[in-house]
Amino acid sequence: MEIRPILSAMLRNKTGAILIALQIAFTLAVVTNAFFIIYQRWEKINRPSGMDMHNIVTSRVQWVGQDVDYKAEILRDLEALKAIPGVTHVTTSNAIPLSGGGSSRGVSAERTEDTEWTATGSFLLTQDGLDSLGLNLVSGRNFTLNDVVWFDPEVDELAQNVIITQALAEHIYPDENAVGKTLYMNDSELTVIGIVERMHGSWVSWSGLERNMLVPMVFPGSSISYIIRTQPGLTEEVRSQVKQTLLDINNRRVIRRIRVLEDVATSSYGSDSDMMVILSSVVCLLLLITVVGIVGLAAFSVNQRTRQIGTRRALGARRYQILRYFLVENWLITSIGLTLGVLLASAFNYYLVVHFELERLDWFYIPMGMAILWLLGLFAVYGPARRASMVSPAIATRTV
Amino acid sequence: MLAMNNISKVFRTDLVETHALRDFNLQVNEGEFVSVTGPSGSGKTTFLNIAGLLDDFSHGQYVLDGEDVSGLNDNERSRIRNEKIGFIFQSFNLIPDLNIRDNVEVPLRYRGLSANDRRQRIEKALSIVGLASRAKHLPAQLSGGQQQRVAIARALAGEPRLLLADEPTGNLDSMMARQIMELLESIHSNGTTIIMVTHDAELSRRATRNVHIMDGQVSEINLHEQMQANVAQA
Repeated sequence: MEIRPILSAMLRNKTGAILIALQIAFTLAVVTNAFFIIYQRWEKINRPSGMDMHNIVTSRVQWVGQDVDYKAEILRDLEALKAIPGVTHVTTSNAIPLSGGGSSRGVSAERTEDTEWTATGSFLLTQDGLDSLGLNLVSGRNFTLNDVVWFDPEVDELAQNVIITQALAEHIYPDENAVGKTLYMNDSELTVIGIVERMHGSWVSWSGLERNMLVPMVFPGSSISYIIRTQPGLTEEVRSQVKQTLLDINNRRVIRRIRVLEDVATSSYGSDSDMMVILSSVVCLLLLITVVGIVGLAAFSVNQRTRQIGTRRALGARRYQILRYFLVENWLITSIGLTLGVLLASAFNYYLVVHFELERLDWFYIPMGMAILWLLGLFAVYGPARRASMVSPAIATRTV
Repeated sequence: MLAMNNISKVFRTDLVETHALRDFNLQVNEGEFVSVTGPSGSGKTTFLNIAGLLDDFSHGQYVLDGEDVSGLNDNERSRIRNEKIGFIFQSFNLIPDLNIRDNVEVPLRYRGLSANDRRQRIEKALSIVGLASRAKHLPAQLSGGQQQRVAIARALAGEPRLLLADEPTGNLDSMMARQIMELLESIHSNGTTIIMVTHDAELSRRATRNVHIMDGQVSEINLHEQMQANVAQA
């Protein structure tokens, strides 16, 4: 290998090589951090929600006018929705998971003056709540009809039992079985009767997304949400019938946001998806610019050195040796750029960590980015290098 | 050393067909110093390119150092160029980004010699041309004559059986040209076969044989016989 003469020749014509090396360094810094952010967003979007995302239809109902017997209306709605072919379970809810709207309460395992309340998503459901959401009960028992409290302001009775998520249980009662324990919520004392494996709450970017509490309770009021579980593959058929079914019972109300839960989530993760698209575009653009830069420098170098290549061929260089010369030259430039790029990528990540609360870059992103740029560099230079290898040795004797 | 039998070289375009060499026959014996002359466009460079395996020919047979090179592939031709032929070009063809030492080393690297072997050959070749002290200089830091001596050192380092020189003094003044010619004569006196293409009649006369090319064919003059004839006439 002729690394030393290639390096010394490069150092005598360093402007182009330095520019490309800097471009490679910049590309590595941006690409590794962008990959890291893209992967984080992808992980966020694709983390399991604990719910049967594809087979749940949600809807919001808003009654118009006064003197409505909300409880009677809701009971009729639940019956009618359950009767739609393909529907397996229906529940009322104060909020739709992953929708960006909901209710949060402070809960704790004890109630003292120093109590630190844990912010927790709160979902008020009927006895069919868990089945309607497709949640996996891992401990304790499910709600029964007797657990469900229909709130009446004149009685002011609240539910006594709750089911909580595993994440909340581990947070409130670390290293303990939460079932049977008392959960304090302001002035109320609730009993944990069950634990579900996982459930995402309302706000996708909230750190407490997995800390949720399911309360067997219905607040009959001017608006309420329905969560309708369908048989697999019948979501669209059910969705198309929900509005008319509800209007057939009472058309003096507004039926809104009849959506599949998967679409609700997609909408809530919109900014994350947009970020992924933007960063992917930036990465592609940067890689393209880098490839074009390498191709340009290599092509220019080959054009400028055609006679020199012919001379090398005349002196006995085989075609593959000329090809290798340009590949090695590019590899050296890329390696210098990548060495700088490692420092730049680390500095850039530090800046993002400090100013944008991004996590620290996992170590393997940098070698992965280096490998990509090395391969890309070889790919980019191969065309001009191959052209160089085809230069005739007879060029050496041409005087013009 | 070199035998060309009925060599033809035709350059073709869509419109024109040019016969650069036609039924070209030439034999050069080992140890000869042959000058090749002829007007511009006569086929001198084409002959040199074919002799040096830099270019293909259309028809005929070419035997170099006892080996028929007519049907060899590019790799084999490269190997023979590297091991058996030394080139001296009119424009020196040094690599401007490499110092003198690295320039001389170029063909040796392609031969795959060890670093130690390369170093010894480079030192020897540079001392023959009197430039051992300039090993670290760049070509641009040398005069034209010195550059051509580096090119000669590069050719000599490979210890070639055949040295091909294409107008080696064409870009030099007369004093430099004389020095280069003396160097070539010295190399020839050590047994190396030299074929030199030149326009310079005086230089041509210093060779042991002159081959004159006209319209792609050989018109040969034996300088010694001519000189003897001249002496007898006088």
